[in-house]
Amino acid sequence: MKKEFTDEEKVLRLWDVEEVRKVLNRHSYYFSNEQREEELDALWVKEPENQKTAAFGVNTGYYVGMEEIRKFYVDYRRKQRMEVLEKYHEAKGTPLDDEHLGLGCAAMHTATTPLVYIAEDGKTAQFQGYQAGFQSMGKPDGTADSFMELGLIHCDLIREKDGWKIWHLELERDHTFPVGENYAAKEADPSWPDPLSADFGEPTDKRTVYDPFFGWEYMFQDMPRPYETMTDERSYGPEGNLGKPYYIRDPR
Amino acid sequence: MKKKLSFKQRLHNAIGSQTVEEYKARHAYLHGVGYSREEWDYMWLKSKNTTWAHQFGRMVGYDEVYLNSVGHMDNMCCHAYGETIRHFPQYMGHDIRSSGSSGLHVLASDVIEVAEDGKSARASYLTPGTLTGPVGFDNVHRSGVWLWERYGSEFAYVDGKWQWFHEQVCPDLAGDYDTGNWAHNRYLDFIENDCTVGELGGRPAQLTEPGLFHRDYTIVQTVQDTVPAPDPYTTLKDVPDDKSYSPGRWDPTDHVLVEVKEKAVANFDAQMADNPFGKIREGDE
Repeated sequence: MKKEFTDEEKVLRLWDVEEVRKVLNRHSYYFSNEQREEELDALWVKEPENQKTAAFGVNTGYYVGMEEIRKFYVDYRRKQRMEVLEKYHEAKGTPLDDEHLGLGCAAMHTATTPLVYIAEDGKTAQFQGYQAGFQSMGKPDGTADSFMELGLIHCDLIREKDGWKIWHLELERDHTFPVGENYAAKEADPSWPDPLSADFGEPTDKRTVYDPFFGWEYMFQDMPRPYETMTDERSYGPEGNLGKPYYIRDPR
Repeated sequence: MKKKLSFKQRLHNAIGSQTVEEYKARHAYLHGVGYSREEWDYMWLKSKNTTWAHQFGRMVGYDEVYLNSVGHMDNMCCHAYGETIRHFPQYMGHDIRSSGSSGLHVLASDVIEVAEDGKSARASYLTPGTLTGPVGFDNVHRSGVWLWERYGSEFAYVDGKWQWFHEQVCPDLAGDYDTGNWAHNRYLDFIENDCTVGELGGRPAQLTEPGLFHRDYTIVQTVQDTVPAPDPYTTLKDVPDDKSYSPGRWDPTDHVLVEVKEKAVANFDAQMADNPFGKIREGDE
């Protein structure tokens, strides 16, 4: 039965929705600006139990636990960016140091069209959004590899002592296409590789969390909705249903 | 003069405003996957004054909106799926309506006003839509289209629940990304190919009020103000017709209806007399 809330509870729940949106918008800012370590420290779960079950998902699987997430989201990205810098170093002698890391690179990752629900028990929240963004990697010869990026965002947040924190974040990459090319003229090929699939790294829990060839097939089942309390089934973490076909979700 | 609202009234209106955001987002995602029933059954008001308008005119009454937006849409989805699995058998076993979808009318720049009487809400949005898919309509290529639109939406609070009452969709420009000059290419399509102003929205199965309600971009048009952003207001009845997203249909209880002079079930004809490019193609000018 649907819970009745007092007026004060209603006000707080309205405010919670705004706070949840703000967390994901802050994520977008940090993510775009490559301030990944700062993001993990500022926005992600801090309580030890939550840190163990935290998860970062990409199309090809999940990174589970804050230690694994940090290795991927911060260290692996640093390696990617250092590879870009090495080309400048070889061509122009640019120093291989933190001050020059990110040279020639730019990105924007938005979190548009937010859909947010707070659990009736007030302990967790679920967010869905859509990322329309880009990445651009410069080269020492003055050219750049530039891509548009489109995809869904699913996120579970959990309330800790100092507010809402990201617990499970799943970034589902739909389309990556080089700018200046007619995407609608490209072949509809199920094996067409994402040009930036290196960004997915090597997840610790490898499985298909999202297959862009089948797109948003389970949107109705996966999108957030009013709910009483978080369950494994509802979760956007590795225990949840993202990427699973209907006959696994609901076996007969 | 603006009325001073009590705490309870302000809370009610704040919940209304956030519900509008929730409904618009739910609609955007469900529409993206062709799950029409799941939005019209849950969110829409079952009233004779319920309307849904597009370039091609206005559907009037919940039944007509449902016929077009659910029955007609589902029919098109099933046909499209039937064709797609001939080319890509990988889609067998996958959802008829939603598999392969990933296009979204991205929501931006919302202006939401809840009436002082707390019985209705009005909203305007802009959308830089990204209509992408791994398999396009031709079942040969991917799809990748920008679709820039604006929306005017009205909601009614009936039986203790916020319900979607009126929608007017206004497409402004579309084109393949990431190539070419969308605006100029569209002009060339108007004069050289089989393209007509008013055809960005497809064809409904039935329409009570056909007409060219909003023009897609041409180089001969002036600025359109079809769905102006809502101003603060007292009650839906007081919104002037030139600001309303469904003129005259302010009553969600069906006691006051707009008379439809002809019981029209007309199909939209894009070759109407005021269409600037229809005549050029026919060689009249």
